[in-house]
Amino acid sequence: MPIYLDHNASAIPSPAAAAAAADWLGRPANPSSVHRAGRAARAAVERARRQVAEAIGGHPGEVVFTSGATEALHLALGRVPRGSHVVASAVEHPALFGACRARGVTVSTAAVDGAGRLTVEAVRRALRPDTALVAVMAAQNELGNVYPVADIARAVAPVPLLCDAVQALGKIPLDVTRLGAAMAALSGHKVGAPPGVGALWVARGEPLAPLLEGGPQERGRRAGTENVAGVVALGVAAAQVPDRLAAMPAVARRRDRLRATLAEALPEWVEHGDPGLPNTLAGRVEGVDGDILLAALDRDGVCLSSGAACAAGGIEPSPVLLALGLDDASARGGLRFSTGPETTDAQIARAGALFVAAARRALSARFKRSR
Amino acid sequence: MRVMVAMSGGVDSSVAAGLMLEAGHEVVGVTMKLRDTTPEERAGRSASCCSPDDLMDARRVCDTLGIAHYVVDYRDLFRRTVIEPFAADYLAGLTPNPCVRCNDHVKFAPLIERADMLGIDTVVTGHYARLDTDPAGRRRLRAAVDAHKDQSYFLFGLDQAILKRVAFPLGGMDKDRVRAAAHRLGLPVADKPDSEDICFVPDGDYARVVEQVADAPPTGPIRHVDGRTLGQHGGVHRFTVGQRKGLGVATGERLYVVGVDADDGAVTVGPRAALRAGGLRAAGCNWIGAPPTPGQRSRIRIRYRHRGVDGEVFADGDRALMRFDSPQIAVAPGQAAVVYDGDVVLGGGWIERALAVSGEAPRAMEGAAS
Repeated sequence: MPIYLDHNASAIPSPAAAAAAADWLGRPANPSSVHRAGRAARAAVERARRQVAEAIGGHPGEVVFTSGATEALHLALGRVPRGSHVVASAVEHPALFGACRARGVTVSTAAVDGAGRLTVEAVRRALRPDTALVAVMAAQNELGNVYPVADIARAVAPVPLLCDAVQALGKIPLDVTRLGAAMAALSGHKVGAPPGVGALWVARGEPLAPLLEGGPQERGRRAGTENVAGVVALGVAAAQVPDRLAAMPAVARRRDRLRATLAEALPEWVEHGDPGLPNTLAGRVEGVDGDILLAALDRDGVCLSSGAACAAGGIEPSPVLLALGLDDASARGGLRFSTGPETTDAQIARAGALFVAAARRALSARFKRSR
Repeated sequence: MRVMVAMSGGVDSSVAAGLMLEAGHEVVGVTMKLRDTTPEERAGRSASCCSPDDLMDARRVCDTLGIAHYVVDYRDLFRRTVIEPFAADYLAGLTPNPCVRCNDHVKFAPLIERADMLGIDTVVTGHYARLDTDPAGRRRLRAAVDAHKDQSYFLFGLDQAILKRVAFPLGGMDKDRVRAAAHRLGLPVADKPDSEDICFVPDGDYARVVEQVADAPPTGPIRHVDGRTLGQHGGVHRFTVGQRKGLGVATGERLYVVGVDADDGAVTVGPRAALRAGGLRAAGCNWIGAPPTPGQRSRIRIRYRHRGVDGEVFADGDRALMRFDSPQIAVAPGQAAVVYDGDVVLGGGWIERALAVSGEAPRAMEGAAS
């Protein structure tokens, strides 16, 4: 079994969620059908809706199921007039910037500091009289930084705030009644459901137009037959959020142990960001490309990430690390450990030792070349 | 042994990976991202080497073989050491060989460094060439068994330190056997056509690549070796020594490009006889083992598809003088002159200028690139 330390890319599936999904994959399940099979599917979807709402402190009617967070963000941007202005943190996920491009809006970014921190003031400075939306994520996927969404929402009111809450759910408390946001995007596979399902939470009374025209599913807000298996799994995973949160103090202790191991054994280790998420540790080994260590650890059976997974095939240096002010070469060194409740002490100890060994070998090979 | 296979997505490097795996080695595949995707490739209209399709093919092959696959980003390196010098050479009136440069600067040394960082012993490619060790313990580069596929010409710039760390498992095979091995291994690229073009010149349009990279190329007159000016041309980069087509002049005589002088922008043309050369001077030489003894009898190849001419080689540091036993046509400055002893590659260098056939008058082109 590999040591899986890439939970921010995709969490280890919850066995209960996987079992529920498997169950529904084996049945005919169109929630719009009037007969008993359809009714059962509808009941399962609505149950999941309640579970998701409960996990984030919202009402079931505020939850729109989507194919994932990317779709949720696109759906959210639909409320913004084309050609209008959006303020976003400089370190939002590519899906948010993509949704802005697709909507044809002008984006001003609010800069973060060298540790990835975002201030209320930075966001406020980027506002314009015609700003139609502010987008700030609850927690940064590559760095683990947690952002003061509620303070920002208050400061920019009455401009509505869209919160990418993908990485926050299940790792830090997330309560939409305190978030101050008008909308929040969620992803199933970051909390133990399979990829291919997510949700947009939309505060009651907030407008929302469907991205695709079709049937009246999701109260006319998202056309197309529901992904019942995925939705049910997301519901089960959402119901387990309190268990995940209860495990987080132990998760944080293990992450801190890994951090201490690297800091002690590797003078070249430089940490990135200022992680408020308990499971995330980002950084670089000065002078070694991240993809080299990723490949070395992969061979050793340890899964981690260099920058965001989306950038892995694209081999561009991470825009998030560039936003911290790192130069191209340093950004190419970026690596991320992200653990989960399943990660054990023994795994952390072994991964730390293997990482230190791989880093030392790479550093000495580099030293040999430079002589 | 732990090996890293440089995989282009083509059948050769895919089979190389499969054979190393069959031989019991621990194998990882690496695909070098050398350049950005062109709009044509994104639309699926062009399938040259290093396109996104090739990258996906390499990945599929690795999935089939059950080995890890990574992409490494050498775009900057490739631009600096291959594409830009390629354009600069054309502007300087030379006929460049980017594949040699790629082997000298991109494919081997950086991958070996990467292998070192990963604790991997050997870098493997799908080149058709053979390696062995001479009695003195030095690595020896030899032509492939399949003379038609032999790529040893492109590898003359490698040194002992590199040759000790590489392997070419296809050197003893012909193409049919490689195809058969691809089928036996169940590789999804078993029937993929060979790529013949230079990877960043997918449709053979060199001039367009040069124009994209470089400033306005020098223009000037087209002159006959007899002194007549026959017309004007649109840029020296459109001409290489030995070229017959696309001269844009009609004299009733069959004319060839004999020389390209970047300084005054002149392209010299003449009859085929004016292309004859009795030897060449080369610079930037690399000798894989000991340098040739003065006047050492050798076989000299002056371009990739040249079968070679017997002659004598005089090496002097990183320069060399080579004399042919029989005159050769179209010795193009900028191309590589590679020296063989039988099938062993002794080394070679970059052609600076052609030398007149002894007893014949020196020709206009001789001053061109000196």
